[in-house]
Amino acid sequence: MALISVDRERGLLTVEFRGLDKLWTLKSRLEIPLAHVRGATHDPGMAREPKGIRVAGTHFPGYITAGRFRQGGERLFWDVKNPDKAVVVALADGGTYDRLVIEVDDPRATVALIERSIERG
Amino acid sequence: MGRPRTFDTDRAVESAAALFATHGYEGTSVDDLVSATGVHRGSLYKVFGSKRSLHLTALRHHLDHEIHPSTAAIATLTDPEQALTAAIASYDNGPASGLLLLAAAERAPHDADVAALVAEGIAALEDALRPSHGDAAPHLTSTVLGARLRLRAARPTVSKEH
Repeated sequence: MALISVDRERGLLTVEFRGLDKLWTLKSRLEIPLAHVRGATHDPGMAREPKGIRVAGTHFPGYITAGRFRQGGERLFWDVKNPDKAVVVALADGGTYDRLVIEVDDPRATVALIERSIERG
Repeated sequence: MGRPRTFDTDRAVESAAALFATHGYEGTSVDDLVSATGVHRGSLYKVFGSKRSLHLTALRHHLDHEIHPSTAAIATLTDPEQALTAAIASYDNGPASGLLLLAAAERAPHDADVAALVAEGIAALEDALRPSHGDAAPHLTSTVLGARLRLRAARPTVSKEH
């Protein structure tokens, strides 16, 4: 589980990993410029996609997918135990990742928060 | 980076629009969109960024290819009765029939971008009824929207899932 928040002043999307998730993902937080965030979607089915090659982190299939993965030429960052609460954040080309797949407490609220902060004029 | 785009974006948007028009925004999952469009999940995210963005694109497509052409045709009619009948029969129709009405009810109250597209579609109808109905055009616009809603309620679409 992670906490996703938006820092409007610094123009950042921040993902803070809690408890053992810091260990599984080998990260305590991610910071992404809001300008690189293309959108967020609640997507429980994402967890059934092939995970590709683990670059760094933890993968116990069916239990936890956490850390950096490479799949079909794309770079994904995962932190998901419960697929029902997975949110997919699509990022612009040129950054460290193409997509984040993050389990959050309230997917609906998280998606609304992210989408509102990047709403087209 | 990533795989080259190997699908027809317009066709994917059309399939998505039909799906959103049938099941609503919340009722359409990414799984549904992946199977209906035949596009890989990764490519969907690569091209559209999010389900919300795909919905906005589908709504834009519906306005450009359905709402605006049909309202342009209605605007050429000067006979009030004829214009009203044509509007009730053809407004917000086509392969994604009801997409605008559904977006107005479900998404516009929560999403300013959807609200703006819905307002554009309703304004187009109002403008189209002005040549035939003059100052009564706003009133007749509400009549058309209400009639479309009643038509949708009276003719449930057959769903494969139930």
